[in-house]
Amino acid sequence: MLKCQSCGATYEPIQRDGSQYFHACAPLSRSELKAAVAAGKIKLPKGETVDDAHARRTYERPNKRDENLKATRGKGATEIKAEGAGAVELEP
Amino acid sequence: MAPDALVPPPSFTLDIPAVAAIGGAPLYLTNDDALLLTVFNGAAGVTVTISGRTLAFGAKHPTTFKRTLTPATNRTASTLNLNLGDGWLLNCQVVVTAGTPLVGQTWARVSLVRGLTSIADEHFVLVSDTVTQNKAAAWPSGAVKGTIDGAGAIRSVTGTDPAAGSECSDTVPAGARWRLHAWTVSLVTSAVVANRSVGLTIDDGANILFQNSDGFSQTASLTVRHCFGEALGNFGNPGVSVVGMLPGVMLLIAGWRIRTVTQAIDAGDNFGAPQLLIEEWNEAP
Repeated sequence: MLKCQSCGATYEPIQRDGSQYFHACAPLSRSELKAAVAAGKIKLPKGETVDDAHARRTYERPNKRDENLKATRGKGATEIKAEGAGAVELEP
Repeated sequence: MAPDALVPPPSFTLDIPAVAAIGGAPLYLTNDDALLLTVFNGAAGVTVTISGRTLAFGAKHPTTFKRTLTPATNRTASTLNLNLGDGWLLNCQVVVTAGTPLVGQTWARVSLVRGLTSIADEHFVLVSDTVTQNKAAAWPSGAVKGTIDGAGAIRSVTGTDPAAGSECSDTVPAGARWRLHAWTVSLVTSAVVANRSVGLTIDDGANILFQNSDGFSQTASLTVRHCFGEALGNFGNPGVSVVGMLPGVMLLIAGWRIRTVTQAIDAGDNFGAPQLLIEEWNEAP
């Protein structure tokens, strides 16, 4: 079991059938967007509420991790899309 | 003196059986030609074996060849070059000899190339198809099929378990195509009073393509299983499990996401790991 250091999610990199799983961080939830706006990290358009903003567009997580490969051939086949803050293995 | 026309011409025929009598579909190869085996695979522990028969130039009897390849499990291209020397390729096949991939998880192509380097020119495809332990891709009897032809592999995928206050999101991996048949997750709400509405959202990595709520407002301190299935109507037993509708055929390509967008989600609300029922193909670009 791994824990993503960018979003705090946990996941199994190997599925029960033995195949690989590639984690990618979710966009910000409404509560995360609200916290980011309150902290001044994200500025909303004038007059727009967090609920409006959350319904209207997708806010990707800063330093997002995306383990999916860039390509299926060549150099991109060995590189993940975004390292983010990395992932750590959890104690079983 | 007899005219020249009556003198039998000298014979240059090699002392071998006619290739047509050997069987298979004789394809002449020079020493500069090679077979290139390319495999895309998403299953664990798979080994594929390519084998066949050749008739070397000047030989009287066919000989056999056999080589194995352990393909990558992340749907990237794995290749193997085989130089068979001067002579005729009579037949060949690719089959899974270790591992138990489902139909759709392992796809193989055999092609004729000139040269043995990674940049060898590919001249034509002999056969390409999905392979399993009981389903070979064979030349000359097989066909040239694409990676998404036919049925995909039915899989149960466990997604990411998000942190409290975060949404679920799972991405179709590189080199895969998914058909989403069903999706389910459990949501535990905090004691904060609010009406949470869970919407299942499909996007292309940026733009939302589909979004549907199961129509249930989940209040504080409840644990409810939210399910979405193909062509189902919204129904359920509020407080236990609720069901929302997915389109009849929801096909997704690499980079597209299956995620939740939850109105009024609280920082203390906690989704579990979603479970996805999907049909999967390798989609080699």
